[in-house]
Amino acid sequence: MMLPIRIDPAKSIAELADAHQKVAGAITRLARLRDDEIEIGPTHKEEVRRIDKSTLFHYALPEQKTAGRPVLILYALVGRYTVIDLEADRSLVRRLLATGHDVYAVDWGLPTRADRFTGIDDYVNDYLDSYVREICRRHRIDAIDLLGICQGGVLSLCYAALHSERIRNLITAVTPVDFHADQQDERVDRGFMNVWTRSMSGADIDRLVDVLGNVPGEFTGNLFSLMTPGRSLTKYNLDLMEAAADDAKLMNFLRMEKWLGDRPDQPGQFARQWLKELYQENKLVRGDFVLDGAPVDLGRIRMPVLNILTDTDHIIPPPMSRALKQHVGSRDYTELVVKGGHIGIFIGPRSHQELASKITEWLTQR
Amino acid sequence: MTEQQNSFSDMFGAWASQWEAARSQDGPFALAMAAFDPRRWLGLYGPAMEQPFDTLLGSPRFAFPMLDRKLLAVAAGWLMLLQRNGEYSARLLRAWSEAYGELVSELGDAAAKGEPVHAGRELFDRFIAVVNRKMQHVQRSEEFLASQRRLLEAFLSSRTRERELVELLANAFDLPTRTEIDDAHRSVHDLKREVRALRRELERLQGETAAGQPSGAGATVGVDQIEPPARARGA
Repeated sequence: MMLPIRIDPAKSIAELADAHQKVAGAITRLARLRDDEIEIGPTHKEEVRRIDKSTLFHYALPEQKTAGRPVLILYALVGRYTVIDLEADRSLVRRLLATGHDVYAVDWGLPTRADRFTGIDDYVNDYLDSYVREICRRHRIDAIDLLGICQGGVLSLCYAALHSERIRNLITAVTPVDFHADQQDERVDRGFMNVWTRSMSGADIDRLVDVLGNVPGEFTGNLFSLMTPGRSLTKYNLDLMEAAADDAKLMNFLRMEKWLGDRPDQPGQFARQWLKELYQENKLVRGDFVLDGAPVDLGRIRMPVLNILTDTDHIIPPPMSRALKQHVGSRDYTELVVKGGHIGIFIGPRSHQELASKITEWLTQR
Repeated sequence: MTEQQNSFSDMFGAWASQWEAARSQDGPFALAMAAFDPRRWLGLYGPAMEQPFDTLLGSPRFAFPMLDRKLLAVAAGWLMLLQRNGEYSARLLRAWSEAYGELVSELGDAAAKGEPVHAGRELFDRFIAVVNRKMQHVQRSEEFLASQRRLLEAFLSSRTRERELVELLANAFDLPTRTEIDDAHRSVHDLKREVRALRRELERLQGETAAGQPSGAGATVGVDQIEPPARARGA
């Protein structure tokens, strides 16, 4: 019988020597680098307005002369908005600016314990509403184009349903809509957040929020790590060693690390609504989700809708996003499937270009 | 029945009931045997260690603050956390050992097809692939999720008991407590919401007024020109 392992000792020594060389190279490169050299969010921007911890930014390229139609980008609260402008060559913001859009983005900031009572009602009807009005006033228009990503997509859907007159075109990207749709296509490599949240009772979520105030960023980060256990095991050894073999790859790795390390806490009330009312009770598609006393009726979203998703999203399984089609009232609904992961579509060398050009093409037609 | 027989019967009855009590779930026999349960090794001895705390914490309360009771509650909370962490770690260890078993099986199958592993990196990559698959399955199992939930419960319970102790001391020294600060934040938040509702109502009324006025008579101030409340200035 053949032995299952037939490693040639000489080959093993060569592998080991190669690994040592890579580690030595990685140490040398890491020792040379300073944290402030690892810049993220490089595109010039100005603060337009600030409410509590959140800020509305306006982006501009030096060579950009005329302002196009304003588009407001909303990212999630689980990560920072800088992922849409991670570096000059991998920046969704720059791509949109280059195609003539006037780009705004909301930074939800770093909530503290003082924000524990801030809920989705406040994010939608106060912060977002104020920022949309601000942009309308600056441009002397009645409605803007809104691009919401992940949790930001859910906020965008709520806003578009409750304040439809302010939104001209709505774009959602990797956005959960039907929070139980993962069960239609259950796979062990995706949707762990759904399974984990449903394994808790509503009382468990209440207790988590009541005791901790906010849901810590580290807690959310750990849950994300559990989704890809193999990758989490090799990230800071093999992956880093391979990345450090090349200056550009190492910088990409470290930029991503910097972004991941900047994970905000989820305000308690926001997390309670997000985990209980959406993940557990699936109220958004049932029409039972209520903000400030008003039900969020997705059927009231009648403006053109572009729904962007990826078939390889391990955080938001595609059926969760695809469900939007059945629930919006818009007759102009487009679904766009982009190659890449949940974050990869915004920072991948090719995917972010494809994404920006498709968004521009779709908006230009409307 | 003679008096001697009755006496023997009483004595035997008392002994039997004591033996039954000793054999019961919380009895000393069960507690002693629990020490041989490997699941207890990582989390101390479970009930054997908890029982004294339960006995003390379960005693009648008096009306005055009892610092020692709070201290005991914190210690019991830490103990529970250790135990639950042990159970969780034990489940993880079992998953890892199952992954090793699956790896060996996979390597055997590959060898049978004439595809043995030739390099260390290849072996490592296969190992990581097996661990990844195994952990993704295990993490979704009822047993694992329940263990994780129990660990989280223990952590939250421990944190609550620590806070109660700290707040007892803070009160004694006239220091603000987390609960009081949370109350203040809730009041501020509620006030902000009231301001927002008032601003919206004002906007609606202004809209109605403007609609009823002839063109050019709109001397009302737009709601966005109203001095924003303190929160909107980034307080």
